[in-house]
Amino acid sequence: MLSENAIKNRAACRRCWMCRHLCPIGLKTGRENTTPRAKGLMLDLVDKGREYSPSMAADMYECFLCGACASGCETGFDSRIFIREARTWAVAENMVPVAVTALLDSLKKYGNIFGVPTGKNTAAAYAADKADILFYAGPTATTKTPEMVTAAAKLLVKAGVPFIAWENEPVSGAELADIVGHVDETVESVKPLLEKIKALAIKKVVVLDPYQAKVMRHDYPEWGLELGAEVVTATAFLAELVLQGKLSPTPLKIKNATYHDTSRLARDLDETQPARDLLAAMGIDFKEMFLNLQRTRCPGDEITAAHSPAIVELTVGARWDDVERCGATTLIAACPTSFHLMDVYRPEGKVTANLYELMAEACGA
Amino acid sequence: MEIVVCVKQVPDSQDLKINPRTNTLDRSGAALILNPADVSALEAARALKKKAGGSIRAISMGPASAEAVLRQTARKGVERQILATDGAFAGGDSFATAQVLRAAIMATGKYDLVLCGRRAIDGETGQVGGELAMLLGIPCLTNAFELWWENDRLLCRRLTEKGIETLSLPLPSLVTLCESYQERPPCLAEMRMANRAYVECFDRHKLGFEKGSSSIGLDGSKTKVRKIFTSDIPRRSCVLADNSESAARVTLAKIIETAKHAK
Repeated sequence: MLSENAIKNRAACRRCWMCRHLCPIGLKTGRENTTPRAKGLMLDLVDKGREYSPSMAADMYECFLCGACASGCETGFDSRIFIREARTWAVAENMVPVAVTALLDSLKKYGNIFGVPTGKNTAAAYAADKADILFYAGPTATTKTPEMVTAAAKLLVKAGVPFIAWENEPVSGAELADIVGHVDETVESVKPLLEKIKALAIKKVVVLDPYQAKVMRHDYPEWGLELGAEVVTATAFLAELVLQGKLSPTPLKIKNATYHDTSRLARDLDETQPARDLLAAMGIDFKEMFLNLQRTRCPGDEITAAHSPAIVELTVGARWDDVERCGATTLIAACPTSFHLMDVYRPEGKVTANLYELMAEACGA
Repeated sequence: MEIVVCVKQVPDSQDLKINPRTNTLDRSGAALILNPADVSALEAARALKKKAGGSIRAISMGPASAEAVLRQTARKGVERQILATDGAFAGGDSFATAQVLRAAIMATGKYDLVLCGRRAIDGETGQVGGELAMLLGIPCLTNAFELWWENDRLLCRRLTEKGIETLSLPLPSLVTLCESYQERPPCLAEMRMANRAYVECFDRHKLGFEKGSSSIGLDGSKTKVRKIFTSDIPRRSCVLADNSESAARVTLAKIIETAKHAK
């Protein structure tokens, strides 16, 4: 049972198959049912009387929700809308794959999908007692890439920006929204965060993980939630600090590097320039990959990595091929998920670096 | 509280065109959606049920295709979906529609509150709510934008030309809702319910209308649509650069002259 909006989106598909050539999963697996077009067709069949099956439900989880398909679709077909709802349907009917159920159990127990307690936000050690800026890292950053969190926090201290940070961050709802969809339970899960932000009269939330920033900026208004504070990505905030002269990076000697635009920043938040400004400020002359900027190729997301690691190994491999094709050996990322996954499946002879540690080094933070 | 919400399937106004040759609404290709004000009424019902308990049933009069919008109501916590559908209901105006809705409400059990959207985006009459209340013999309150349950009382805020009124309502009552309630997402239990939604169909026999009844369909309609047309308002502009009093007089004379000509 899909909403009118989802049905409208699904019906917009003209079966041209362009999304087949844009979907990072479809391109690498070569399996038709991993493409957005096929997912739309499956739901079309369900609308015509075919039963929604556990295998269809499993197919709905083979998607990064990266928006590559929607970015190249002339009809405005946005598969993410009906795929999320098909996931809701799967959860409601207890049809989610076992591996996805484990993620839901982990979210319930730990507030993250990793099956272990969420890492402490290391930025809390650098935070002020009182400030109207909140530094929010997100569970992927605190658990998988704490070095990014620490580096970003040190940069804020270096720039003289007072901020607060919570050692144990309330969830933003991003992971639950992608697994279960836009349901009342997702909206309810966000309330502790909103209450905390309101109680402390936070005016600005600097978000390290673009995945969390996207949800706060775009999804909360759609869910009828008011954050009550401006949402700024960490890259945009640091670029602004450089512009204001509060951070003065010295040139770093990094050669043969390329920068990966994460889909959440480039496509969902339309932010590609701040990271480039930071790279320029550090004197890093990077090589641009062909599939970058708004048409960036998503190497994977933590949800798919957790339930279908074989798929993510393939898609990360494809991203490393992009790095190879542009002649780079070092991949720089600003997104905790991309940085983590690219590092996990890093081929020999390649190097991963994150924008925040590079900046901290360049600024002597 | 037993709540009835009357809903209508309407063509999406973004897709609607007027055929300039026949002067009729061209609905071909227009997506069929749940009337926006009815969505607001459903959300109001959902919020009331959460506070006061009870159940919600959604009732619609329309062709078989209206089943789709009734199914959508299950995502909003509606337990029972009822479609009044029969060829004899076709061509009915707002009054004939209210007759069918009244029969459907009476045929499906007890009710405490009837909610309707304040108007449908296709017909735009805004009359069904009032007519239905009259036929049911219950008080009617129009243009409400907020309803809530407090100390076992139904309270309501409504928009009037003079401002906002806050009123307490006796039960049963009928309330027409503005497009004030934002659509909330379903919860998982409601999704489960939506996947199993079964739309009950009621034809004229089930609703107790005789063959050739003069109270339904075209025969039961108190109004007849003679013509629908696109109004053509020609626009002409004239710029007078002078801002003196005499220029103002000239402008006024021009306006009067144009108005005379328009008559």
